[in-house]
Amino acid sequence: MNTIFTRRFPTRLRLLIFVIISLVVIFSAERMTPYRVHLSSLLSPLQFLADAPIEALDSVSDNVKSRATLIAENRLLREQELIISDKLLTYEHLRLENIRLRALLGSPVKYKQRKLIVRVQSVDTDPFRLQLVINKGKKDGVYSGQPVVNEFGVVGQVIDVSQYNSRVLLIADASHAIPLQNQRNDVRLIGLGKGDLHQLELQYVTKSTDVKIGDLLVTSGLGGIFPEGYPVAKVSAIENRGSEIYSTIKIQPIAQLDRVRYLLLLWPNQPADSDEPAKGR
Amino acid sequence: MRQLPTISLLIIWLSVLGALLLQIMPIPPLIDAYRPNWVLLVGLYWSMALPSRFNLGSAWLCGLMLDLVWGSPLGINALAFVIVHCATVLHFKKIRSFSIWQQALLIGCISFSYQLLSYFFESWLNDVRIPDGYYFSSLSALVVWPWLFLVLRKTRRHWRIS
Repeated sequence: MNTIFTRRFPTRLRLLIFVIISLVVIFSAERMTPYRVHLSSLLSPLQFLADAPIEALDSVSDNVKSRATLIAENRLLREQELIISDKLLTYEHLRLENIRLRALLGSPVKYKQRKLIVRVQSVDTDPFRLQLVINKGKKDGVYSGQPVVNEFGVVGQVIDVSQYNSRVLLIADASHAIPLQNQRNDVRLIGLGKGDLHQLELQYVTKSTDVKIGDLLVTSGLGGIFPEGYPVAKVSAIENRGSEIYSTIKIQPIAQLDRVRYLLLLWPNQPADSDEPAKGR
Repeated sequence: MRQLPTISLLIIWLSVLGALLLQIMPIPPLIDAYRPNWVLLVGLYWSMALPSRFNLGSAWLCGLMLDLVWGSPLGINALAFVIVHCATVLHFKKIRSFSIWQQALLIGCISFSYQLLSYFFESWLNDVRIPDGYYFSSLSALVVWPWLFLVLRKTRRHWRIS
């Protein structure tokens, strides 16, 4: 039943043809991006389907929480709110003062920007890449290169958008680098992902640079992707080897990258009326 | 009686979609490393059983779909899929006559070479490191193969796909 077709198109020729097509696809990745949006939109229903049981389980566990847990949770949230609003009291004063000072300098900063809360879809991804899939896509205005943060600090940036969901590359991925500055002395640095969720590295820091263990590193706003001032990592280890010019500095991301459920998408170039994020659930 | 070609193709591609779903389904992190590459296994089965319906082109398409749902650089898995499917497409008669455990051993080896290839291509494009337990998935491919083979053969015979 199946000997004729092999004569018509020898397998080796097919192999050659498909290897060439694959290489063309791989090397024209930049030009393929607009098509990729449509292609991944075709397959994104699969991701929603795979994630559906987890989402359903989540809502079930929300519904069957006992009264005691709810009371405990409520109390915890009230305490947190008290602490946060105490901080905000002084923050508002400082913010206004900062705006006045900035105005004197002639460089006003935008404070209010569009934000959106998104949920992480629990689907498996490429084993070589540290990335997440989130449940908002092009339809909600998500764009490639968009900064993503959570309540602790910077998580990553959007690399791939489909119509209904999109993909976030974590700052710890081996192909990711983020421009940073030391909060203590404004020294500018570059944080390079190493493929390890709990550790990044600082690139090209000479031994004489003033970096100490425990320093907080925040985004510097250079590079145009991440807005200035979001916390990223803490310096966890510094190693100086005798013969090398640069020291090896390990930093630990502040956002716990292995246990993210909800994230915040930022639109740094879109001012908003209020500072409240839109509900994206 | 033979099945209509469109129905055969439909069932083959439905099984591929099912495999894609299994591939991205959330499972406990403890056994995540042991997840076999379902798309690869299903593709290998069809290319071995029906090379006239499922040949290198279909294998390439499967790889491309895996690239899309996994978020890999486009074409990486497609390329690796085409190369390893050559083994089954060229020697489908020989492999069919193997006993089921011999087949499983062979499929384990093919899955291993697929993993080596995809690591090679990824490291060629980007600076990547092999995650812990990366090669366990070939081991579970070996274990899963007999059951998958029986299920798919049952499907093929039930629907008289040819």
